Amino acid sequence: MKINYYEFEDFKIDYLNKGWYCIKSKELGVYVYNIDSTELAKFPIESARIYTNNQIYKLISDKEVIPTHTYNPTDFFLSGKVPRLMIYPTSACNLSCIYCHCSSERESVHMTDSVIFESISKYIKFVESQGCLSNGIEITFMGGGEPFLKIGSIKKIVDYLKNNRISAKFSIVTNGTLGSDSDWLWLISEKFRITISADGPPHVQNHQRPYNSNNPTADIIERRLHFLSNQKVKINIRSTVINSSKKNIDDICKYFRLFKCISTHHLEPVSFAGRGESLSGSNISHFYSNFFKYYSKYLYSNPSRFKSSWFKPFQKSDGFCGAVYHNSIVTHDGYVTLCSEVDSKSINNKNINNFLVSKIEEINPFTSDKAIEFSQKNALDHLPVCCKCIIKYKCGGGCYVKRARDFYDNQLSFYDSFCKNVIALQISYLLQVYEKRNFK
Amino acid sequence: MKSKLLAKCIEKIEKKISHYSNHVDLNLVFSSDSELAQSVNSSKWIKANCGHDCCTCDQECK
Repeated sequence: MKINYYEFEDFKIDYLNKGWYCIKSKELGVYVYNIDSTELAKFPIESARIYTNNQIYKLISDKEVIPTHTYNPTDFFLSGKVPRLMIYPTSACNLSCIYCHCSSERESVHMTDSVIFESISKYIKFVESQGCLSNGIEITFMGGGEPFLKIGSIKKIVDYLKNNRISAKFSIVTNGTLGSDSDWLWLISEKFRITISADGPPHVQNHQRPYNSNNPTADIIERRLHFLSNQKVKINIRSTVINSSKKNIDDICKYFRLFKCISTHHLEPVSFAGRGESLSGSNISHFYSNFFKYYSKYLYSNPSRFKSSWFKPFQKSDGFCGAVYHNSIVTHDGYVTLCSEVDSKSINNKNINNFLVSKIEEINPFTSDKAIEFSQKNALDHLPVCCKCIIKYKCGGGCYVKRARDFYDNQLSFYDSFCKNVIALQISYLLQVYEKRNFK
Repeated sequence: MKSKLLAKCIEKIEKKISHYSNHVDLNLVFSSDSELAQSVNSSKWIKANCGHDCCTCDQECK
């Protein structure tokens, strides 16, 4: 099914009343959408042109609106769910990615075993207090730095949980360059979900993700992906995009099709933070607009393979990501943070130090007042730009850290770069799915 | 006087449209997100946020 991406300028979206919106598309016609019942309808072309918004509202205002369920953090916890534990085993890294948001270096500090096991035992207590330890726990190892530098500690944690008969699922987010084949076979045998951060064909990978020595990394990544393909495992690739030209996005998406082990591929635009700050050009909104425009083809045509945290066209949720679901991320030095892009280096950055909510030595580090406060402050109704946005439940408020750190809480600039492109991304898709559905 | 006339005109138009709405089938076919998701085999997207970090997560809630 071919679906096109339309620019934001191709739509005129007006709020009518009581959750109703009118969407006028140059290409597709006039629609009404209710964000509470998530219902969409198209107006007959000949009549819609002559109606004012008031008249359109009058025509549909009698329609019964039955709101569908909106997922939110309160329900999440009431239903006994817990966020998974994410551990940064180290802040050191063997690569020097040119955009690294946390500016990782080779000689940085590892998480000590005492912090590791304090984190695990407090997390288990937290899950137990929620009454759901019998469902098992989930742990992700990521960075911060490169978790494979501490594969020994990761193995210790897995053994510890096995010895204590605690059922656990594991994930790892790695740069894919370290570890022997037997280490990778061990990950597979323990059923780790594997995400490899890799950026594209050799010229892209080598430019963006060199070793500390500046040597290229594309060969080792290709060897790793062939190895995993031979093992018949399925993995996720996470690519950071710094050049949003059509050719570059096509190259990245096509290149990873060479490897059978890749079942999902997640592209995200670079964060202009840490070393990435120097990549920020004069026309940031153009960068984002191209990213969403050229990536949309892949998201629309193969959504089970291509992923984006910004493309959730059918979701109805108050919250963009785990940051408002009390993410339990423990940094190498024992801080609990709500976002994987905010570590203890950010403690003096007043725009984002509210993401650092506790320290692991506190009695209840995973249920801190600061985490609850963050969740409440970022609820959709408290975000002025989102209050009347047509996609507020599909987007959930947008990336909190990008808004606060990369855009210094400048709502207009954030809106220009992200919001209007994401509105176009989601509304283009929704209207065309509606059209195709009706033609069946 | 002008505005009174204008108001009357608007009232007339609105009445007409209201009448039209009540008695003429506008043939508005409403589809919910859930129905649209099913039509593209993406109903798994409807489920709740998994509560994880979205930037690297491979779960099916997106």
